[in-house]
Amino acid sequence: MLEIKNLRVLADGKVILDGLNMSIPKDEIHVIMGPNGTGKSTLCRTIVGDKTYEISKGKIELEGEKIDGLTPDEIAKRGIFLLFQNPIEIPGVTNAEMLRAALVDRGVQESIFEFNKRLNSSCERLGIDKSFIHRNVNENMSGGEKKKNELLQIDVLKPNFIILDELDSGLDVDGLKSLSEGLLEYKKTMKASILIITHHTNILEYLHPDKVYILNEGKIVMEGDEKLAEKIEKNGFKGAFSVSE
Amino acid sequence: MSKNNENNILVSGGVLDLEKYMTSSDFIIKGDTVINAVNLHNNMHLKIKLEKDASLILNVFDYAIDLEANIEIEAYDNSSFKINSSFISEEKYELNIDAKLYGDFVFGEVDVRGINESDSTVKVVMNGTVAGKTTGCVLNEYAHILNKSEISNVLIPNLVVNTNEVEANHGVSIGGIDEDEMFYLMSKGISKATAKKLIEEGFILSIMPDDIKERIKNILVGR
Repeated sequence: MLEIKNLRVLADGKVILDGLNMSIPKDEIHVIMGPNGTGKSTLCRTIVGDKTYEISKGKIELEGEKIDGLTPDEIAKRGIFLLFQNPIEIPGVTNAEMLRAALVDRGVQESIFEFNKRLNSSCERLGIDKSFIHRNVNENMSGGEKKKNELLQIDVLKPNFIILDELDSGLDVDGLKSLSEGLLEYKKTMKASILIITHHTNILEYLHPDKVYILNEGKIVMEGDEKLAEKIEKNGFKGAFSVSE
Repeated sequence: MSKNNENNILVSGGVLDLEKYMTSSDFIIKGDTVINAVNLHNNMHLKIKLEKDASLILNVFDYAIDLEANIEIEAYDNSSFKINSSFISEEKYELNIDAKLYGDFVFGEVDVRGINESDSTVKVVMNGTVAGKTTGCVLNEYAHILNKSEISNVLIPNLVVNTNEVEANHGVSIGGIDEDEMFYLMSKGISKATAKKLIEEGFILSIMPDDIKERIKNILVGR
């Protein structure tokens, strides 16, 4: 379970999130919706330890252990994975090199043959071309390929808590459907939790949330079940609450 | 490979791996040729004449302690060259590349990637000259240095163009490690030290062909 307790986050001295409380149990899908610029991505980055953001109050716990204050790699090793809205290109570094480094730093000891077998079976399971393994990290990849690449990382690194930051960004309808199916299959197998950050409801057609939060001006202003998302879809954010311009 | 009367080494296509004793040599290139100079631990002075219709890929890598590399290239009609030069400077490094395009429709590109790990200045000078009365030439010069200390580095991309019928570009940069790249790798569970090493080595390897990349990776094991 990931718990966020009374969280206040600053960026450049300005309050971005304030008084945030959330509990995301194992094997559940929660979604945070809200208009642009309300602090959704700040929350993602804060959970995974981006030091651009300062936690001035409150805490974040994973399975009862405080994780705020840890470095991004320490948080990832505890099983939290951020699927980036715009995955970064790393010239000259192949996916295989990155994933091998990530496994070695997790203490996984396996031969290069075992490692190759692991990557090949992940590609087969996900229907990803094996050439991905030897391509440079996200370099010259389309939006859809970059997201697939993140899914490959999930399958190899086996996180138990996945954050999807605007998953639909850069994806067409088929791409979104296929990626969502891959994530659902992973969740089913691993009993993983998923936190979806989005300002669209189209992703919720495939990933049905257990709980929906609406974020506005750094605070959770509404929460409910999937019906809340349907209400937003129908009336927009402005129709659901007053959004300051 | 053979020698002519003036002691120039004639290379008529194929792949040539330079050895230490060849690092001060004059070459005449015919055909499609690749020359590799990988970690020779020696000062280098290469003079290369690229004959009409010839092509050259020159891959240079130095893990350098107080070294100087000088590469002079003359290119004639319809020839092309690509110089990929990577280095890690541990003490002092100076690279001078002097490219002269004397013919029509010559394509030339210089791509330099270096890491300065030392407290000494790295100096990279790229002189590109396109001769008058030539037409259809392309000349690109790029150099990027990743600096690990506060020391200043010198990057000079000179283009001397004596004709209007040319496309010439240059671009240089000096900077530290990209913080977004660091965050991305660390968010996958990779330690800061390993992430840094991956980014640095990727930076210098990214311009090299795959076979040379593997050789350089082997040199950098345990760095």
